[in-house]
Amino acid sequence: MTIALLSLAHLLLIAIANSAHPRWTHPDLLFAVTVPPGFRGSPAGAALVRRYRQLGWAGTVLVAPVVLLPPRLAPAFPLAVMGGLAVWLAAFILSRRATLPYAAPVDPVRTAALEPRPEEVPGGLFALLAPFAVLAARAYECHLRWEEMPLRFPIHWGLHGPDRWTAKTPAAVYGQFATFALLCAVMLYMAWATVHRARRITAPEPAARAQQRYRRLSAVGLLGLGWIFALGFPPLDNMTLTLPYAPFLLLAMVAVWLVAMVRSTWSDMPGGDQTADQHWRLGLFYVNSDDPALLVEKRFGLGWTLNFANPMSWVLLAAIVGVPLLALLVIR
Amino acid sequence: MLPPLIRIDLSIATPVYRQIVDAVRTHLVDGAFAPGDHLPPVRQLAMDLGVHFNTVAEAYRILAEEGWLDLKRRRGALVLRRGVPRPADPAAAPLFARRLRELVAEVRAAGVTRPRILRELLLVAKGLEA
Repeated sequence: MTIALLSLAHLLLIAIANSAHPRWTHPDLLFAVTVPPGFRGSPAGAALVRRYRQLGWAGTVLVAPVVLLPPRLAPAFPLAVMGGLAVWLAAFILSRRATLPYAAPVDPVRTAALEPRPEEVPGGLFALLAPFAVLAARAYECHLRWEEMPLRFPIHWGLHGPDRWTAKTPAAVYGQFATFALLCAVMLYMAWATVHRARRITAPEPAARAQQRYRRLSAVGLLGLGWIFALGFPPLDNMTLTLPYAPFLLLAMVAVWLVAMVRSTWSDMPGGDQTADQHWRLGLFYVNSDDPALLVEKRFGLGWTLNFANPMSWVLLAAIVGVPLLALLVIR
Repeated sequence: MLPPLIRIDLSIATPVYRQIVDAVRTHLVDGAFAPGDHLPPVRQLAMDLGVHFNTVAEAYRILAEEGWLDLKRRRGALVLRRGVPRPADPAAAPLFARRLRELVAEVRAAGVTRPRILRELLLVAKGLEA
């Protein structure tokens, strides 16, 4: 029953967030298509938004019964979450297709400031390097107290605590450290990249200020993730999380961060995101080999997405997907 | 205070690197930068304008050849003190006169009114007097 309620709650959250999505982008973007200013509020724009919501909510209702599936038959929670995301994604792609006939040409004028960027990652070098020092210190502690460590330790947690374990071997222990260090590095690099490898809007000034706020918040979120990989590393000696309410604390922090991100979106800032529609595949993937930016503003969802024409994007993707898989193989 | 801005238009026939050269040179001639100031690194300016690295690198290279920038430093492009060439290039003044006439003809053909053109030319002239 708990799983069913939790799955249903997630399904609802996904639906509410996606339903509000058209409000979160620049006013001259709708379903990842550049549209004339004011189009979103026009009868045609409002009809497109309404249809998107109808499609999404209808799909959500269709997916909802999976929460009642018995656990033996199928895992309800991942099915509900993936199903919910899939229907809204489908609604987005269909709505994008319906919006394309209204597309407007992208503003060909680009403006940039002739000064080196004054901004730095919040917290500077300390925020970027300290997590590795923490991980190194904990790895060294494991080395010193190897004999005191239990013969097995958890590698997966469910609702009721650890549910998967592995034997204490150097490969398992230090492999886990290496995995966390690599994931931490990816997150911290992404935080740095939101400041240094993403386009900076310089005009008009209100849009520039809004983007600066948004970029800073994004960097804080990614830094936070990096720090969680370092500080949230489960202590191997007592097999419990340091803070019993850590997951709830984390959820609360994520909620506050999300609200701040939503509040700082540039829904009333004209000027688009200065990328051409032709470089967006399905409105989700940005591929532009002439654009040196590694990160660009997402056109679907909050935050930033990779420029897949940049080789560094593939390195980051390989790290995010490949490292945990490799670690699973090593630890197993 | 806003830093000096550069504006390019991807829809016009003038190549982007040339637009960057012209815009940066205008700021340099107007004294928006002092010798020792840094322009943004090639990668950053290319990113902010959404154009290829090589486009900005070519523009910086031309400005360096003209004596405005030192590109050997690791951190971006360093603005140099640049004296006015003596004697002046004998071809420069006739070339200026020809380009100015062509430009005036171009904007008149595009529908810009005579008073507006005159106002802009007077603004430039006042800047020269100052």
